[in-house]
Amino acid sequence: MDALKQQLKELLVEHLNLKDVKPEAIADDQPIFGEGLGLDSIDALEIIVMLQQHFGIRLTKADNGPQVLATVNSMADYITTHRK
Amino acid sequence: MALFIHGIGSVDPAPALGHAPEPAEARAGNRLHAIEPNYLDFIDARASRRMSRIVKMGIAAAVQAVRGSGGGPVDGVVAGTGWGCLEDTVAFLQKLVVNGEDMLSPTSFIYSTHNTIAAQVAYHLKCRGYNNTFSHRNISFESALIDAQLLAHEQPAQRLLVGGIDELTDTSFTVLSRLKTFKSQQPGGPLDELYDQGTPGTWAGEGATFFLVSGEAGPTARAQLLAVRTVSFGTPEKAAAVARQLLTANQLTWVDLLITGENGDQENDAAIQRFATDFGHSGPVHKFKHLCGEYPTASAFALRLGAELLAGTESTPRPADIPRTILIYNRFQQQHQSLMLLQAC
Repeated sequence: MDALKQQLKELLVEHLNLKDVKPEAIADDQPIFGEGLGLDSIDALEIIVMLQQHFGIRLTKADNGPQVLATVNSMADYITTHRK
Repeated sequence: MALFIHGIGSVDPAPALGHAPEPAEARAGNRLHAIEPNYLDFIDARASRRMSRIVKMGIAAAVQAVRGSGGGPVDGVVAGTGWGCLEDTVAFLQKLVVNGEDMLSPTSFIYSTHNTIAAQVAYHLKCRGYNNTFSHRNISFESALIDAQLLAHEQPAQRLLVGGIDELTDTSFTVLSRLKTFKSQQPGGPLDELYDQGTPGTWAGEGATFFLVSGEAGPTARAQLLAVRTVSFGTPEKAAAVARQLLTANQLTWVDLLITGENGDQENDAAIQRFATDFGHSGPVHKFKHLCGEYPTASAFALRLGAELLAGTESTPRPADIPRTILIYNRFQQQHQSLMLLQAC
């Protein structure tokens, strides 16, 4: 699980071009959007594409998005549960 | 309707205008690169993380133009770009191929549209007014200027940002090289070796140039643009006739300086010589594409050069050589020609 979280952090930095953020500086329970990393709705779309590309995960219900994408922890949980 | 130029900003291969760009910085064979500033002086890191190079170039040029005018709000943004945001377009198309038309990045798509630059400039400057982008090959910038003239005619006090922006990417350089747009010889001497080679092709260039203009003069006005005209699919003699009409309409009988868009291509330059002969100009002539290379909105670089010469901020051999009137004539290939008539304030 820790390896998955580390991979997610590295992918977030790479895909979202977060030049000033080091992957290890992102806390597992840190909010990704708003006050946390300060990401926005376009980043949410990029993360959805990233999850599909790297983990084969499709977010089928849009309503689940805010919960699933809230933190590295919530993304890792969702991937672990839904990965085939 | 005259447009008064109050501020100028530019990111191109020749920040110092008439002074030759440093070869190591700006020249790579047949290609002139824009010398880019430290973008953190213009855009904060978080805002710039999605921006491609051309968007940053455009914002930096626009901010410089606003600062040069003494600051203040901007009422509208009008941009011209012949090539658009190539870097993001290429990134989007590559992902389209690599990912089998699936899982495409929304950022590359959003940022690939031609209006991205003007939109980001407006967003950055908190300008909620008029916003438009013209993409008409090598008269894109002139089309933006004509639109700005119309806006100024309606409300002369409006402060408008009008600019021309084009970037060259490795992909577009390769494609245009295959189309024989650029010279096959590798230059190594002085920059003006571009001319008089008697060979086809030119040098590649790029740049972003913005002007803060309004329909009203004032203490910050550096020059006034009396007229802009485009002549499509006409002969150089037709353009010369239009130029003479412009002079007459503005109560002028000659201009002190002619700035021409010769680019080293033998066919293009022969057409410009025909224009100059037919126009009957006997005074000095300046060329500019050895400084910035060829790109669809290179005429914005020429307007910058002309405005700085009129304002006396670009060096001339003697103060008496500072012109009072300038005509800029540009053309590329056989399609579009443009004329811009400038006068000192």
